[in-house]
Amino acid sequence: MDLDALQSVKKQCPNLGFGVGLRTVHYSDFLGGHPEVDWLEAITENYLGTGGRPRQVLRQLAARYPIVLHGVSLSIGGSSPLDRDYLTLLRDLAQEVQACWISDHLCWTGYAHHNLHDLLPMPLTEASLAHVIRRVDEVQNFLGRAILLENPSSYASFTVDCIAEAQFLREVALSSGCGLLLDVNNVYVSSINHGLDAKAYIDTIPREAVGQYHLAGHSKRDGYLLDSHIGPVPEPVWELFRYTLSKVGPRSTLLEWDEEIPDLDVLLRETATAKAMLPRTPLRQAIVPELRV
Amino acid sequence: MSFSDVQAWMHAAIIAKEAPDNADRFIRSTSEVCAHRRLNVYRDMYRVRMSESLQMDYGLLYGVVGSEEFEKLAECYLEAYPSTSYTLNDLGRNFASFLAAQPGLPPYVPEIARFEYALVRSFDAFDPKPADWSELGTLSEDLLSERTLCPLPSFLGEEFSYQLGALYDAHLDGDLPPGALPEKGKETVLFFRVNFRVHHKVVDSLSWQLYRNLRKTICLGAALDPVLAAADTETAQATLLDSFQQWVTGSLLYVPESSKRCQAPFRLGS
Repeated sequence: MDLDALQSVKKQCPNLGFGVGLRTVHYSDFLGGHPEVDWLEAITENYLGTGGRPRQVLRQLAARYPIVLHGVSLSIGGSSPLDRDYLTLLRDLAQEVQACWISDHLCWTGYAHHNLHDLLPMPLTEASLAHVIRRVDEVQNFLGRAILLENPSSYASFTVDCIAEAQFLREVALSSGCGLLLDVNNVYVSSINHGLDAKAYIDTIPREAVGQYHLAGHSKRDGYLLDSHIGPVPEPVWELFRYTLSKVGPRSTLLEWDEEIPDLDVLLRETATAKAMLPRTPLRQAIVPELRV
Repeated sequence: MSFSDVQAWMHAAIIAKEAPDNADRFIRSTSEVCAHRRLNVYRDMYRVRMSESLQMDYGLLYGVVGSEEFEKLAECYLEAYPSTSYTLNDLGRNFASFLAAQPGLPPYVPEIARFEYALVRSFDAFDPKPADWSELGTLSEDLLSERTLCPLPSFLGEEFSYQLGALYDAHLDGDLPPGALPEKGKETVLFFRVNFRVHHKVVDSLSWQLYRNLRKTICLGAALDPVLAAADTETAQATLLDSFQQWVTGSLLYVPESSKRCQAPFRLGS
């Protein structure tokens, strides 16, 4: 696999524009009107194995908006075998809502079939790299499509680590042909928590592999940042997003907000801010020089 | 040390009651944050996430026993029944039976948990297409009595030894008074979805009997006739038929694929 092979990520993940994460509190906004959102990202597990209202709402909205499924339980880096029942349900749901693509995280979520329901950081070793590549391949073959893996935020790294996370993701993408969901907030949070260079992280990621961006807020704790998805996107994350756009280019961009979720209008204003950061056309840049990125 | 060894250690370290003292063997420290504190970020988040998830589904129980007792019960429960599913929706699957097995707990505690889990089950159930009541209305009485109608998977019935329906309503309305406890007394409750919203209704013994008969997947005549016969007043019969009509017109019943015709047809109301 080489960089040319990653062109399929671009084809499979067209730039959908600016979306928001679909949350229960906004169901009535979407069902009762047609808010100006380009696409919606649904948390996969909220719609699997349930015949209740959430699935009904997702079906309805899938007829009006492009839907992307974003999972938290694939456990691509876990030591336990992949959960075939989960994958079957995921495949069925993706078909039902005509999901544009499917994403999850570079992480493990439990051990020995116990699920801790957290996105736990991978030990970054040669063996775990081979393990993840093998499992991405298995998942992609099962689902019949490439998946996107998101860089997680983390609060711990391991004494056994011998590969930088960005390099690890690069190798996974190049070897398996999977795409990457670049969470700019997570890059920033982890860079602070581990004393890393966030821009160097972005530079290491192969731009051809990036199929989507995430933006979100975080919280300051004593000595570290917590990826809480609370509040507006902080300025340092916007700054890193501008840098990312200049290096990688525009991609489908999604705003996540999961704590103290505000009115949809507030989320839409945040996405408008992100939209305003897109590089302008050369003509416009020539006319309005201050717009140059 | 393999990456799997690291995962096994971290998993055990997160769920353990006390944090292990060897975190720096596995986790890197920095000058700002030591390995022990880094591990504790995950340990703390695990407890909060699990407890909040249970609290969301068992709000009445939380209100009745109080936050401290609830946290304690939740922690013991999660130790006995850690999540094995990709979803937190079903985290409380064994909560009521776990609570029932705990010595010294008031008997209403597992009853409340069972009540609230019925709401969860109803919310998440996959339902087949409900019976078309306008089509049923065109059938002759004989044909109707031979039909089998069964409660949808989301249409559940539970029998309680405490009166929980009104208490749950008070909780939903935010009117649960401090120290409120359920009164002892048998109560039969039906849980059902209308437009994907879950409702509950306390029903009398005849409606309960009819519901149970319908659950047996027998034909309508066999389900309804004995209950109608047991209704000793016209008012009781009318109430029963009203209930049944609401279930049919409310799209709470369906025709099971395996339904059989009755050997000897019954006549409705005979």
